[in-house]
Amino acid sequence: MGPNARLTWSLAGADGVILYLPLPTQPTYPALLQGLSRALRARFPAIYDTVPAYRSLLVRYGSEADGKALAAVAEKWLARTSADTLSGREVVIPVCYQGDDFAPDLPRLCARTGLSSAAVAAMHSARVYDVYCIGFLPGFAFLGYVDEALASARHATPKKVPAGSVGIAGRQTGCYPLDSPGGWQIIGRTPMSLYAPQRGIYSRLAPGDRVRFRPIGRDAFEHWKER
Amino acid sequence: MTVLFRIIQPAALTQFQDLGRFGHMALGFPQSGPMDELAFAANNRLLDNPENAVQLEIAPGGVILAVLGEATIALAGAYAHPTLDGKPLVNFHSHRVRGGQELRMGFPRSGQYAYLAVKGGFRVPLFLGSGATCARIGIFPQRLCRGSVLESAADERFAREQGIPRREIPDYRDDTFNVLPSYQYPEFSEAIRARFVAQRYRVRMTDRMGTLLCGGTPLSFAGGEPLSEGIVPGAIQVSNEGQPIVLHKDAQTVGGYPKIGVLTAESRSRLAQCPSGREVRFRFV
Repeated sequence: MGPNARLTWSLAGADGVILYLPLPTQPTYPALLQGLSRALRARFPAIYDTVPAYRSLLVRYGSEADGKALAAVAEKWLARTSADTLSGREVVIPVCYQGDDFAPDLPRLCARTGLSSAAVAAMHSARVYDVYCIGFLPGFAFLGYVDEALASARHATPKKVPAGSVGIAGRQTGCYPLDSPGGWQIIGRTPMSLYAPQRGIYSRLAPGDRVRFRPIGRDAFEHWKER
Repeated sequence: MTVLFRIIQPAALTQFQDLGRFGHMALGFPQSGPMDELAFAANNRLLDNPENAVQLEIAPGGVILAVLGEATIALAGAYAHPTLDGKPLVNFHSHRVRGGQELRMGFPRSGQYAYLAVKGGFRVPLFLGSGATCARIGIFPQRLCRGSVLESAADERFAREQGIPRREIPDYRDDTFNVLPSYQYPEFSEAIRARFVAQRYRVRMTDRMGTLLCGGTPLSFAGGEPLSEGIVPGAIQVSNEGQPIVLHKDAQTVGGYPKIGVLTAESRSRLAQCPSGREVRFRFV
Protein backbone atom coordinates (compact mmCIF):
# COMPACT_ATOMS: atom_id res chain seq x y z
CA MET A 1 0.00 0.00 0.00
CA GLY A 2 3.01 2.22 0.28
CA PRO A 3 4.58 4.10 3.18
CA ASN A 4 1.47 6.11 4.08
CA ALA A 5 -0.67 3.13 5.02
CA ARG A 6 -2.92 4.45 7.79
CA LEU A 7 -4.75 1.88 9.77
CA THR A 8 -7.36 2.38 12.42
CA TRP A 9 -8.45 -0.28 14.85
CA SER A 10 -11.02 -1.01 17.51
CA LEU A 11 -11.35 -3.73 20.12
CA ALA A 12 -13.78 -6.56 19.41
CA GLY A 13 -14.35 -7.95 22.89
CA ALA A 14 -11.64 -9.12 25.29
CA ASP A 15 -9.72 -11.22 22.81
CA GLY A 16 -10.47 -9.54 19.49
CA VAL A 17 -9.20 -6.60 17.47
CA ILE A 18 -10.67 -5.27 14.25
CA LEU A 19 -8.34 -3.45 11.87
CA TYR A 20 -9.65 -1.02 9.26
CA LEU A 21 -8.02 0.03 5.99
CA PRO A 22 -8.82 3.61 4.95
CA LEU A 23 -12.08 4.36 3.15
CA PRO A 24 -13.18 4.18 0.40
CA THR A 25 -12.86 0.41 -0.14
CA GLN A 26 -10.49 -0.38 -3.02
CA PRO A 27 -10.58 -3.38 -5.39
CA THR A 28 -7.13 -4.27 -4.02
CA TYR A 29 -8.46 -4.71 -0.46
CA PRO A 30 -9.63 -8.34 -0.61
CA ALA A 31 -6.18 -9.56 -1.66
CA LEU A 32 -4.44 -7.19 0.76
CA LEU A 33 -6.57 -8.31 3.71
CA GLN A 34 -6.01 -11.97 2.86
CA GLY A 35 -2.25 -11.39 2.70
CA LEU A 36 -2.33 -9.38 5.91
CA SER A 37 -4.29 -12.12 7.64
CA ARG A 38 -1.63 -14.68 6.69
CA ALA A 39 1.21 -12.39 7.77
CA LEU A 40 -0.35 -11.68 11.18
CA ARG A 41 -1.10 -15.36 11.81
CA ALA A 42 2.56 -16.16 11.09
CA ARG A 43 3.75 -13.40 13.43
CA PHE A 44 1.26 -13.99 16.30
CA PRO A 45 0.70 -17.72 16.90
CA ALA A 46 -2.02 -16.94 19.48
CA ILE A 47 -4.36 -15.83 16.66
CA TYR A 48 -7.00 -18.52 16.19
CA ASP A 49 -9.36 -16.89 13.71
CA THR A 50 -9.47 -14.00 11.25
CA VAL A 51 -12.34 -12.57 9.21
CA PRO A 52 -11.50 -10.27 6.30
CA ALA A 53 -14.46 -8.26 4.97
CA TYR A 54 -14.46 -5.27 2.56
CA ARG A 55 -12.07 -2.95 4.44
CA SER A 56 -11.73 -4.69 7.80
CA LEU A 57 -9.89 -7.61 9.31
CA LEU A 58 -11.25 -9.14 12.50
CA VAL A 59 -8.47 -10.87 14.46
CA ARG A 60 -9.25 -13.18 17.34
CA TYR A 61 -6.57 -14.11 19.87
CA GLY A 62 -6.30 -16.88 22.40
CA SER A 63 -5.22 -14.27 24.94
CA GLU A 64 -5.93 -10.66 25.74
CA ALA A 65 -5.78 -8.60 22.57
CA ASP A 66 -3.13 -5.93 22.08
CA GLY A 67 -4.53 -3.74 19.34
CA LYS A 68 -1.60 -1.35 19.32
CA ALA A 69 1.02 -4.04 18.73
CA LEU A 70 -1.12 -5.70 16.09
CA ALA A 71 -1.78 -2.44 14.24
CA ALA A 72 1.93 -1.56 14.30
CA VAL A 73 2.92 -4.88 12.70
CA ALA A 74 0.06 -4.59 10.22
CA GLU A 75 1.10 -1.08 9.18
CA LYS A 76 4.68 -2.18 8.60
CA TRP A 77 3.52 -5.11 6.49
CA LEU A 78 1.17 -2.92 4.46
CA ALA A 79 3.89 -0.32 3.86
CA ARG A 80 6.18 -2.83 2.17
CA THR A 81 3.51 -4.82 0.32
CA SER A 82 2.12 -4.07 -3.10
CA ALA A 83 -1.32 -5.50 -3.85
CA ASP A 84 -0.21 -6.54 -7.37
CA THR A 85 1.90 -9.33 -5.91
CA LEU A 86 -1.05 -10.79 -4.02
CA SER A 87 -3.73 -11.66 -6.57
CA GLY A 88 -5.84 -14.54 -5.26
CA ARG A 89 -6.87 -17.69 -7.11
CA GLU A 90 -9.16 -17.33 -10.07
CA VAL A 91 -12.21 -19.57 -9.89
CA VAL A 92 -14.56 -20.16 -12.84
CA ILE A 93 -18.19 -20.92 -11.99
CA PRO A 94 -20.49 -22.23 -14.75
CA VAL A 95 -23.96 -20.67 -14.68
CA CYS A 96 -27.14 -21.51 -16.57
CA TYR A 97 -29.15 -18.30 -16.96
CA GLN A 98 -32.19 -20.07 -18.50
CA GLY A 99 -35.59 -21.16 -17.25
CA ASP A 100 -38.11 -19.92 -14.70
CA ASP A 101 -36.89 -22.49 -12.20
CA PHE A 102 -33.20 -21.50 -12.42
CA ALA A 103 -33.73 -17.76 -13.01
CA PRO A 104 -37.07 -16.76 -11.48
CA ASP A 105 -36.18 -13.07 -11.19
CA LEU A 106 -34.56 -12.69 -14.62
CA PRO A 107 -37.76 -11.73 -16.54
CA ARG A 108 -38.42 -8.81 -14.19
CA LEU A 109 -34.81 -7.66 -14.41
CA CYS A 110 -35.09 -7.76 -18.23
CA ALA A 111 -38.38 -5.85 -18.17
CA ARG A 112 -36.92 -3.20 -15.88
CA THR A 113 -33.67 -2.71 -17.81
CA GLY A 114 -34.89 -3.37 -21.36
CA LEU A 115 -32.10 -5.93 -21.75
CA SER A 116 -32.62 -9.39 -23.23
CA SER A 117 -31.87 -12.33 -20.94
CA ALA A 118 -28.89 -13.16 -23.14
CA ALA A 119 -27.61 -9.62 -22.69
CA VAL A 120 -27.95 -9.87 -18.89
CA ALA A 121 -26.09 -13.18 -18.94
CA ALA A 122 -23.36 -11.69 -21.12
CA MET A 123 -23.03 -8.64 -18.89
CA HIS A 124 -23.02 -10.65 -15.66
CA SER A 125 -20.38 -13.06 -16.97
CA ALA A 126 -18.18 -10.44 -18.63
CA ARG A 127 -16.54 -9.24 -15.42
CA VAL A 128 -14.00 -10.69 -13.06
CA TYR A 129 -15.35 -10.26 -9.52
CA ASP A 130 -13.47 -9.96 -6.26
CA VAL A 131 -14.51 -11.93 -3.15
CA TYR A 132 -14.91 -9.09 -0.63
CA CYS A 133 -16.19 -11.23 2.16
CA ILE A 134 -17.66 -14.63 3.04
CA GLY A 135 -20.57 -14.82 5.42
CA PHE A 136 -24.32 -15.30 5.87
CA LEU A 137 -23.86 -19.02 5.03
CA PRO A 138 -20.73 -21.19 4.87
CA GLY A 139 -19.02 -20.40 1.57
CA PHE A 140 -21.44 -17.61 0.60
CA ALA A 141 -19.15 -15.13 -1.17
CA PHE A 142 -20.06 -11.48 -1.53
CA LEU A 143 -18.72 -10.59 -4.98
CA GLY A 144 -18.25 -7.08 -6.31
CA TYR A 145 -19.34 -5.39 -8.35
CA VAL A 146 -21.86 -5.97 -11.16
CA ASP A 147 -22.42 -3.45 -13.96
CA GLU A 148 -24.50 -0.50 -12.74
CA ALA A 149 -27.24 -1.53 -15.19
CA LEU A 150 -27.75 -4.85 -13.34
CA ALA A 151 -27.96 -3.35 -9.85
CA SER A 152 -31.13 -4.68 -8.16
CA ALA A 153 -32.84 -4.14 -4.85
CA ARG A 154 -33.37 -7.17 -2.62
CA HIS A 155 -36.84 -8.73 -2.34
CA ALA A 156 -38.79 -7.08 0.45
CA THR A 157 -39.29 -10.46 2.13
CA PRO A 158 -36.90 -13.44 1.85
CA LYS A 159 -37.94 -16.40 -0.31
CA LYS A 160 -36.80 -19.99 -0.37
CA VAL A 161 -33.68 -20.13 -2.51
CA PRO A 162 -32.27 -23.46 -3.74
CA ALA A 163 -28.56 -24.29 -3.46
CA GLY A 164 -26.58 -23.18 -6.53
CA SER A 165 -28.77 -20.12 -7.18
CA VAL A 166 -26.88 -17.09 -8.48
CA GLY A 167 -28.25 -13.75 -7.37
CA ILE A 168 -27.79 -10.01 -7.34
CA ALA A 169 -28.34 -7.59 -4.45
CA GLY A 170 -27.43 -3.96 -5.00
CA ARG A 171 -24.24 -4.17 -7.01
CA GLN A 172 -23.13 -7.36 -5.32
CA THR A 173 -23.52 -10.82 -6.74
CA GLY A 174 -23.11 -14.28 -5.26
CA CYS A 175 -24.16 -17.95 -5.20
CA TYR A 176 -26.14 -19.74 -2.50
CA PRO A 177 -24.08 -22.76 -1.36
CA LEU A 178 -27.05 -24.29 0.52
CA ASP A 179 -30.83 -24.14 0.31
CA SER A 180 -31.71 -21.09 2.37
CA PRO A 181 -34.16 -18.26 2.77
CA GLY A 182 -32.77 -15.28 0.91
CA GLY A 183 -33.70 -11.93 -0.58
CA TRP A 184 -31.38 -11.73 -3.57
CA GLN A 185 -32.73 -11.50 -7.15
CA ILE A 186 -32.03 -14.90 -8.68
CA ILE A 187 -30.84 -14.83 -12.29
CA GLY A 188 -29.29 -18.26 -12.79
CA ARG A 189 -28.03 -21.46 -11.26
CA THR A 190 -24.69 -23.24 -11.15
CA PRO A 191 -24.40 -27.04 -11.30
CA MET A 192 -21.18 -26.81 -9.28
CA SER A 193 -21.44 -28.04 -5.67
CA LEU A 194 -20.47 -25.10 -3.53
CA TYR A 195 -20.92 -26.86 -0.20
CA ALA A 196 -20.57 -30.62 0.14
CA PRO A 197 -18.85 -31.32 3.46
CA GLN A 198 -19.27 -35.09 3.04
CA ARG A 199 -16.89 -34.72 0.05
CA GLY A 200 -14.61 -32.28 1.84
CA ILE A 201 -16.00 -29.19 0.08
CA TYR A 202 -16.56 -26.55 2.76
CA SER A 203 -16.23 -23.51 0.52
CA ARG A 204 -15.20 -23.09 -3.12
CA LEU A 205 -14.16 -19.51 -2.52
CA ALA A 206 -12.02 -17.63 -0.03
CA PRO A 207 -11.74 -13.88 0.54
CA GLY A 208 -9.30 -12.43 -1.99
CA ASP A 209 -10.19 -14.95 -4.73
CA ARG A 210 -11.35 -13.72 -8.13
CA VAL A 211 -14.42 -15.19 -9.78
CA ARG A 212 -15.58 -15.47 -13.38
CA PHE A 213 -18.99 -16.82 -14.39
CA ARG A 214 -19.16 -18.93 -17.55
CA PRO A 215 -22.63 -19.09 -19.19
CA ILE A 216 -23.77 -22.62 -20.02
CA GLY A 217 -26.97 -23.99 -21.57
CA ARG A 218 -29.57 -26.23 -19.98
CA ASP A 219 -27.98 -29.24 -21.63
CA ALA A 220 -24.53 -28.51 -20.29
CA PHE A 221 -26.08 -27.95 -16.85
CA GLU A 222 -27.75 -31.37 -16.87
CA HIS A 223 -24.58 -33.10 -18.08
CA TRP A 224 -22.16 -31.11 -15.99
CA LYS A 225 -19.74 -33.38 -14.21
CA GLU A 226 -17.75 -32.35 -11.20
CA ARG A 227 -14.05 -32.96 -11.40
CA MET B 1 -15.38 -46.33 24.17
CA THR B 2 -18.43 -47.07 26.28
CA VAL B 3 -22.10 -47.15 25.38
CA LEU B 4 -23.74 -44.92 27.97
CA PHE B 5 -27.30 -43.83 27.19
CA ARG B 6 -30.21 -44.50 24.90
CA ILE B 7 -32.64 -41.66 24.29
CA ILE B 8 -36.15 -42.56 25.40
CA GLN B 9 -37.53 -39.07 24.91
CA PRO B 10 -35.65 -36.50 22.80
CA ALA B 11 -36.06 -32.70 22.91
CA ALA B 12 -35.95 -30.33 19.98
CA LEU B 13 -33.02 -28.11 20.89
CA THR B 14 -30.93 -30.71 22.70
CA GLN B 15 -27.57 -31.10 21.00
CA PHE B 16 -23.89 -31.92 21.39
CA GLN B 17 -21.45 -29.08 21.98
CA ASP B 18 -17.75 -28.74 22.63
CA LEU B 19 -16.01 -25.36 22.97
CA GLY B 20 -16.65 -24.71 19.28
CA ARG B 21 -15.20 -24.69 15.78
CA PHE B 22 -12.23 -22.37 15.52
CA GLY B 23 -10.30 -21.13 12.51
CA HIS B 24 -13.14 -21.32 9.96
CA MET B 25 -14.97 -18.04 10.44
CA ALA B 26 -13.41 -16.60 7.28
CA LEU B 27 -15.31 -19.24 5.29
CA GLY B 28 -18.58 -18.36 7.01
CA PHE B 29 -18.71 -21.03 9.73
CA PRO B 30 -19.96 -19.74 13.07
CA GLN B 31 -17.94 -20.89 16.05
CA SER B 32 -20.90 -22.52 17.87
CA GLY B 33 -20.09 -24.08 21.24
CA PRO B 34 -21.95 -23.91 24.57
CA MET B 35 -24.44 -21.08 25.10
CA ASP B 36 -23.41 -21.06 28.76
CA GLU B 37 -19.63 -21.43 28.86
CA LEU B 38 -19.59 -21.09 32.65
CA ALA B 39 -21.75 -24.15 33.22
CA PHE B 40 -19.93 -26.07 30.49
CA ALA B 41 -16.54 -25.37 32.08
CA ALA B 42 -17.81 -26.24 35.56
CA ASN B 43 -19.10 -29.60 34.33
CA ASN B 44 -15.83 -30.63 32.71
CA ARG B 45 -13.94 -29.50 35.82
CA LEU B 46 -16.19 -31.63 38.01
CA LEU B 47 -15.11 -34.70 36.04
CA ASP B 48 -11.45 -33.72 35.48
CA ASN B 49 -12.23 -33.77 31.78
CA PRO B 50 -10.28 -31.88 29.12
CA GLU B 51 -11.92 -28.44 28.86
CA ASN B 52 -13.06 -29.24 25.31
CA ALA B 53 -14.78 -32.56 26.18
CA VAL B 54 -18.13 -32.87 24.34
CA GLN B 55 -21.28 -32.42 26.44
CA LEU B 56 -25.00 -32.53 25.84
CA GLU B 57 -26.63 -29.08 25.87
CA ILE B 58 -30.21 -29.65 26.96
CA ALA B 59 -32.99 -27.29 25.91
CA PRO B 60 -35.84 -26.69 26.31
CA GLY B 61 -35.94 -29.76 28.60
CA GLY B 62 -38.02 -32.88 28.91
CA VAL B 63 -35.30 -35.36 27.99
CA ILE B 64 -35.40 -38.97 29.22
CA LEU B 65 -32.32 -41.20 28.94
CA ALA B 66 -31.97 -44.89 29.69
CA VAL B 67 -28.61 -45.53 31.35
CA LEU B 68 -26.85 -48.46 29.62
CA GLY B 69 -23.58 -48.67 31.53
CA GLU B 70 -21.65 -47.52 34.57
CA ALA B 71 -20.49 -43.94 34.40
CA THR B 72 -19.89 -40.71 36.24
CA ILE B 73 -21.91 -37.78 34.94
CA ALA B 74 -22.05 -34.12 35.89
CA LEU B 75 -24.88 -31.61 35.69
CA ALA B 76 -24.66 -27.82 35.45
CA GLY B 77 -26.39 -24.76 34.02
CA ALA B 78 -30.12 -24.15 34.27
CA TYR B 79 -31.69 -26.33 36.98
CA ALA B 80 -33.93 -28.67 34.97
CA HIS B 81 -35.16 -30.79 37.90
CA PRO B 82 -32.92 -33.75 37.03
CA THR B 83 -33.82 -37.10 38.56
CA LEU B 84 -32.23 -40.55 38.59
CA ASP B 85 -34.87 -43.25 39.00
CA GLY B 86 -37.13 -40.53 40.36
CA LYS B 87 -34.65 -39.25 42.96
CA PRO B 88 -33.63 -35.59 42.56
CA LEU B 89 -30.02 -34.90 41.59
CA VAL B 90 -28.02 -31.90 42.75
CA ASN B 91 -27.05 -29.39 40.05
CA PHE B 92 -23.40 -28.32 39.61
CA HIS B 93 -22.47 -31.75 40.92
CA SER B 94 -21.16 -35.08 39.62
CA HIS B 95 -23.09 -38.33 40.13
CA ARG B 96 -22.55 -42.04 39.56
CA VAL B 97 -25.04 -43.86 37.37
CA ARG B 98 -25.52 -47.56 36.58
CA GLY B 99 -27.02 -49.56 33.73
CA GLY B 100 -30.80 -49.95 34.09
CA GLN B 101 -31.36 -46.57 35.68
CA GLU B 102 -33.35 -43.74 34.11
CA LEU B 103 -32.11 -40.16 33.96
CA ARG B 104 -34.75 -37.49 33.45
CA MET B 105 -34.31 -33.81 32.76
CA GLY B 106 -37.38 -31.64 33.26
CA PHE B 107 -37.98 -28.08 32.17
CA PRO B 108 -36.02 -25.36 33.96
CA ARG B 109 -38.17 -22.83 35.84
CA SER B 110 -35.54 -20.18 35.27
CA GLY B 111 -32.71 -20.42 32.80
CA GLN B 112 -32.61 -22.00 29.38
CA TYR B 113 -29.72 -24.42 28.97
CA ALA B 114 -28.77 -27.39 31.15
CA TYR B 115 -25.57 -29.37 30.58
CA LEU B 116 -24.94 -33.09 30.93
CA ALA B 117 -21.30 -34.17 30.91
CA VAL B 118 -19.84 -37.64 31.17
CA LYS B 119 -16.41 -38.71 32.36
CA GLY B 120 -14.16 -38.62 29.28
CA GLY B 121 -16.71 -36.65 27.24
CA PHE B 122 -19.23 -37.89 24.68
CA ARG B 123 -17.81 -39.51 21.58
CA VAL B 124 -19.09 -37.94 18.36
CA PRO B 125 -17.73 -37.64 14.82
CA LEU B 126 -16.00 -34.28 14.40
CA PHE B 127 -16.88 -31.67 11.78
CA LEU B 128 -14.04 -29.27 10.94
CA GLY B 129 -12.26 -30.55 14.03
CA SER B 130 -15.15 -29.91 16.40
CA GLY B 131 -18.02 -31.77 18.01
CA ALA B 132 -20.19 -28.63 18.10
CA THR B 133 -23.66 -28.67 16.56
CA CYS B 134 -24.98 -25.81 14.41
CA ALA B 135 -28.52 -26.80 13.46
CA ARG B 136 -29.06 -23.59 11.49
CA ILE B 137 -26.59 -24.72 8.82
CA GLY B 138 -27.13 -28.45 9.19
CA ILE B 139 -24.05 -29.36 11.23
CA PHE B 140 -24.94 -32.31 13.46
CA PRO B 141 -22.05 -34.40 14.78
CA GLN B 142 -24.77 -36.89 15.72
CA ARG B 143 -28.47 -36.46 15.07
CA LEU B 144 -30.41 -37.16 18.24
CA CYS B 145 -33.78 -38.85 18.18
CA ARG B 146 -35.73 -41.49 20.03
CA GLY B 147 -33.51 -44.58 20.27
CA SER B 148 -30.21 -42.78 19.60
CA VAL B 149 -27.33 -44.33 21.51
CA LEU B 150 -24.82 -41.98 23.14
CA GLU B 151 -21.26 -43.10 23.71
CA SER B 152 -18.48 -41.78 25.88
CA ALA B 153 -15.03 -41.20 24.42
CA ALA B 154 -13.03 -42.96 27.08
CA ASP B 155 -13.38 -46.16 29.03
CA GLU B 156 -13.04 -44.48 32.41
CA ARG B 157 -13.50 -45.79 35.87
CA PHE B 158 -15.81 -44.01 38.23
CA ALA B 159 -14.73 -40.50 39.12
CA ARG B 160 -15.40 -38.97 42.50
CA GLU B 161 -18.85 -37.55 43.25
CA GLN B 162 -18.31 -33.90 44.06
CA GLY B 163 -19.83 -30.46 43.90
CA ILE B 164 -18.61 -26.98 43.17
CA PRO B 165 -18.12 -24.37 45.90
CA ARG B 166 -21.15 -22.09 46.01
CA ARG B 167 -19.11 -19.00 45.21
CA GLU B 168 -18.02 -20.59 41.90
CA ILE B 169 -21.58 -21.20 40.75
CA PRO B 170 -22.69 -18.44 38.36
CA ASP B 171 -25.29 -16.08 39.82
CA TYR B 172 -28.01 -16.33 37.22
CA ARG B 173 -30.23 -13.86 39.12
CA ASP B 174 -27.76 -11.03 38.55
CA ASP B 175 -29.50 -8.77 36.03
CA THR B 176 -26.48 -6.58 35.16
CA PHE B 177 -24.28 -7.48 32.21
CA ASN B 178 -20.77 -6.19 31.54
CA VAL B 179 -19.95 -4.61 28.21
CA LEU B 180 -16.47 -3.98 26.81
CA PRO B 181 -16.45 -0.85 24.62
CA SER B 182 -15.72 -2.25 21.15
CA TYR B 183 -16.27 -1.80 17.43
CA GLN B 184 -18.26 1.42 16.73
CA TYR B 185 -18.41 2.43 20.44
CA PRO B 186 -16.43 5.65 19.76
CA GLU B 187 -18.87 6.63 17.01
CA PHE B 188 -21.92 6.48 19.27
CA SER B 189 -22.48 9.84 20.96
CA GLU B 190 -21.84 10.16 24.67
CA ALA B 191 -25.55 10.75 25.27
CA ILE B 192 -26.47 7.52 23.45
CA ARG B 193 -23.90 5.49 25.37
CA ALA B 194 -25.24 6.93 28.61
CA ARG B 195 -28.80 6.12 27.57
CA PHE B 196 -27.80 2.53 26.72
CA VAL B 197 -26.59 1.85 30.26
CA ALA B 198 -29.26 3.94 32.01
CA GLN B 199 -32.35 2.22 30.66
CA ARG B 200 -33.64 -1.28 31.30
CA TYR B 201 -34.27 -3.76 28.52
CA ARG B 202 -36.58 -6.73 28.26
CA VAL B 203 -35.64 -9.96 26.43
CA ARG B 204 -38.04 -10.11 23.48
CA MET B 205 -36.70 -13.31 21.88
CA THR B 206 -33.66 -15.47 22.38
CA ASP B 207 -32.04 -18.44 20.67
CA ARG B 208 -28.58 -19.76 19.77
CA MET B 209 -28.11 -16.93 17.25
CA GLY B 210 -28.90 -14.02 19.48
CA THR B 211 -30.92 -12.27 22.18
CA LEU B 212 -33.28 -9.57 20.92
CA LEU B 213 -33.91 -6.83 23.45
CA CYS B 214 -36.38 -4.00 23.59
CA GLY B 215 -37.04 -1.11 25.90
CA GLY B 216 -36.75 2.57 26.49
CA THR B 217 -35.88 5.19 23.95
CA PRO B 218 -34.25 3.86 20.77
CA LEU B 219 -30.49 4.28 20.36
CA SER B 220 -29.47 6.27 17.32
CA PHE B 221 -26.23 5.92 15.41
CA ALA B 222 -24.83 8.90 13.55
CA GLY B 223 -21.91 7.05 11.95
CA GLY B 224 -23.74 6.07 8.76
CA GLU B 225 -24.19 2.50 7.58
CA PRO B 226 -21.06 0.47 8.39
CA LEU B 227 -19.79 -2.05 5.84
CA SER B 228 -20.35 -5.65 6.86
CA GLU B 229 -17.53 -6.83 9.10
CA GLY B 230 -16.53 -9.82 11.20
CA ILE B 231 -18.55 -10.20 14.39
CA VAL B 232 -17.85 -12.12 17.59
CA PRO B 233 -20.25 -13.82 20.02
CA GLY B 234 -21.33 -11.26 22.61
CA ALA B 235 -21.28 -8.35 20.14
CA ILE B 236 -24.16 -5.92 20.77
CA GLN B 237 -25.64 -4.75 17.50
CA VAL B 238 -27.99 -1.81 17.38
CA SER B 239 -30.81 -2.53 14.94
CA ASN B 240 -32.35 -0.01 12.54
CA GLU B 241 -35.08 0.44 15.16
CA GLY B 242 -32.43 1.40 17.71
CA GLN B 243 -32.82 -1.74 19.83
CA PRO B 244 -29.90 -3.93 20.97
CA ILE B 245 -29.34 -7.45 19.65
CA VAL B 246 -26.73 -9.53 21.48
CA LEU B 247 -25.14 -12.17 19.27
CA HIS B 248 -24.56 -15.70 20.50
CA LYS B 249 -22.63 -18.76 19.38
CA ASP B 250 -24.49 -19.65 16.16
CA ALA B 251 -24.73 -16.06 14.88
CA GLN B 252 -23.58 -15.32 11.36
CA THR B 253 -19.93 -14.42 11.01
CA VAL B 254 -20.34 -10.97 9.42
CA GLY B 255 -22.90 -8.22 9.87
CA GLY B 256 -23.51 -4.62 8.97
CA TYR B 257 -25.26 -3.18 12.02
CA PRO B 258 -23.25 -0.80 14.22
CA LYS B 259 -22.07 -2.40 17.46
CA ILE B 260 -21.85 -0.45 20.70
CA GLY B 261 -19.77 -3.05 22.52
CA VAL B 262 -19.17 -6.72 23.27
CA LEU B 263 -20.31 -8.56 26.40
CA THR B 264 -17.63 -10.29 28.45
CA ALA B 265 -17.73 -14.07 27.99
CA GLU B 266 -19.07 -14.36 31.55
CA SER B 267 -21.92 -11.91 30.91
CA ARG B 268 -22.80 -13.41 27.52
CA SER B 269 -23.14 -16.82 29.15
CA ARG B 270 -25.45 -15.44 31.85
CA LEU B 271 -27.52 -13.55 29.27
CA ALA B 272 -27.88 -16.74 27.22
CA GLN B 273 -29.69 -18.22 30.22
CA CYS B 274 -32.25 -15.37 30.30
CA PRO B 275 -35.63 -16.37 28.83
CA SER B 276 -38.03 -14.02 27.04
CA GLY B 277 -39.51 -11.46 29.40
CA ARG B 278 -36.47 -11.12 31.68
CA GLU B 279 -35.40 -7.56 32.45
CA VAL B 280 -31.73 -6.74 32.09
CA ARG B 281 -29.39 -3.78 32.19
CA PHE B 282 -25.87 -3.13 30.96
CA ARG B 283 -22.78 -1.39 32.26
CA PHE B 284 -19.52 -0.55 30.53
CA VAL B 285 -16.39 -2.03 32.08
